[in-house]
Amino acid sequence: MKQELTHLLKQRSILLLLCISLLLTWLSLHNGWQNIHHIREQISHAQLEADLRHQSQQADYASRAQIDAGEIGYYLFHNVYQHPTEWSFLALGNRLVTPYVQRIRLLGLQGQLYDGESHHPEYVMLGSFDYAFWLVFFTPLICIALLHDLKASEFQAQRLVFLNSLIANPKVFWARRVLLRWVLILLSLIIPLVFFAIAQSLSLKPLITVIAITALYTLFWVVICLFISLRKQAMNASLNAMLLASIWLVLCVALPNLAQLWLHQQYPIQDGSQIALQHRQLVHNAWDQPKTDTLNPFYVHYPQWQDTPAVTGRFHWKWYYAFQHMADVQLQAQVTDREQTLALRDQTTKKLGLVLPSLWVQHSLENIAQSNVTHLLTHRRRITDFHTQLRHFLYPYLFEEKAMTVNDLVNMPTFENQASAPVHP
Amino acid sequence: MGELNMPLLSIAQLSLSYENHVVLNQVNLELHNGEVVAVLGSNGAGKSSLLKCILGLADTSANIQGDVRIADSSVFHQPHLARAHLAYVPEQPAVYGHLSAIENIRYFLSLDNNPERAEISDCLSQAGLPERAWHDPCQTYSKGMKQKVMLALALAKQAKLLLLDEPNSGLDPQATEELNQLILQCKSSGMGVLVVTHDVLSAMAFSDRLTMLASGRLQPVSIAQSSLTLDNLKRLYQGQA
Repeated sequence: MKQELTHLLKQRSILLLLCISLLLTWLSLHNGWQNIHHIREQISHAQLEADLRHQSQQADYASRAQIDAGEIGYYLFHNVYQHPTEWSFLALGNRLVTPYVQRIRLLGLQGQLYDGESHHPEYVMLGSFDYAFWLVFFTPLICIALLHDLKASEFQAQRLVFLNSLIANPKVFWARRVLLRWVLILLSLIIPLVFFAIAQSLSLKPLITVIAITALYTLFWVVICLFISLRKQAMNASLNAMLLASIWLVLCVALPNLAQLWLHQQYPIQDGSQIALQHRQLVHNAWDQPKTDTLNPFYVHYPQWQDTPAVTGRFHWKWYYAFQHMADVQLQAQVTDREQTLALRDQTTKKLGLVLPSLWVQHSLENIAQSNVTHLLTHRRRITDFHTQLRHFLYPYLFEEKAMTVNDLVNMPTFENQASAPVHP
Repeated sequence: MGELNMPLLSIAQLSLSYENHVVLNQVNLELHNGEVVAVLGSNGAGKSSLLKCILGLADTSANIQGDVRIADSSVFHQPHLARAHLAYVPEQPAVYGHLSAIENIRYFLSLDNNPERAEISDCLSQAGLPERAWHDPCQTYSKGMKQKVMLALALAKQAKLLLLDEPNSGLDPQATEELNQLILQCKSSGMGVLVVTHDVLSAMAFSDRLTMLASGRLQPVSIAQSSLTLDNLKRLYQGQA
């Protein structure tokens, strides 16, 4: 093995390729880390701003004898954050196309949720150069470059018969060559990864899983290269390279894209901005409708507020928040359908991953990075639960027209504390 | 006593054919320790096929009959055992250009899991490769120098039988002369040498026996230096000698 290693590493082209792999792995991790660092900075900045805003508002409310709950619902914004996890840098996934800071208030939720949906076309088209992207799309090319001419290079150098005359066991000989190349490719991917994990004191379990995924995926490509480059007729290196490049194109580009197209056709979803627009139209229409048209259906949902003081005058907060909520209720079926379809797409992608390794790796890494659809939907549910808590907190003051003081704000729900105690409407 | 007389290489009734095309037809040959035998033949006569049969690496799609034994081990039934006794030097020296002479030999010796059986530097000296070149990458070597590396490998391996495929092709007269001397050196050390070539003059210089492969058959030939004319050579290569 030592001789084989010397033989391999003395080849400048192989050494260069391994160095490139090492460097690009590092760059992919660094780029992912920089993106996540930027998100963290933005969140910290938003938190700081929110704290200052709250302090200022608290001071304002403290100066008043009584606070209007309607104004609290309208003017008090609550930041909700989609915090990256420690391994999010591996696969940025949906984090680049969904907002990581949103400002939520007591108004209709769906309008606020989907108003922030920012599908940056460049990101959607290109993705980002993170570890998942590098591993899925480019490491197969490293495998191909290192393994396509295993036998052909010896044949073309008129060395194959000579080697066969020396080799005690051809299977062991070729296995050793392949194994060594695989280990070197793997090391070029794992070394930067482990270094990153140590430098950033990241937890061990995800690291082991990522290493296992990397090993399995590269092994898959090594086996494919082996089938092509060690077959009996594999004496033409260019032909082998062309065959393997075609397989790469099919497995990493064509089929995943076709799968995505099929998923989009099979499970069509409504654009989030359409939901936001519909919500806005429902709210606008409600202004022109008789108040009873809003309040009666609202009281069906919340009978406990039916016997509260009647709405009088041109404007009343309880009517305002009722039509905001009723717009949410009217869009609920669409939102649920959209979320269920997204979840179905995600489940189907997972199933497709059983036959398409590139999809499996992407899905698995996004799962570890918590940047996949499942985590996006979980985050949305947390926001929905928080908004429900907010409504349940302010509704008694609004509907029973209870007096509110600055001391009552202490019990105001916060998003960060909400996760442990989810509330469903 | 019987073992002493046992041929190092014994080819008995060897026939090789592809469907209807006969390449080798009942070839017989015996080669003893310290003997150099040259197999002459025109292009396509089946010289390379004969070598592949001796190496036990004949095309699996071919129909093979007969037997080839090296130091009494059949290359068809005990190929590893048989090959352990031989060293093969192909027409194009098979050294790796990015490795030095020493690294090449060390690498090749590692392939059959045999520990280095002779000091590599001694073998390189014996093969006549200048010491200053030992650590240079072989891609900087001439063909003659590469041949010497291959011969040094044979010496390091302590092979009993040396198979040379067109060893003189592409060599200048001086390199050819050096190679001929090396072959004679191997012979004097007790090694059996089988040379496949179409260079009659060189073959006559180092061979104890000349054989001609024509029409699938291997026949002994005897040529006197004085009778080497173009017409005679043509007849010889056409199997009419």
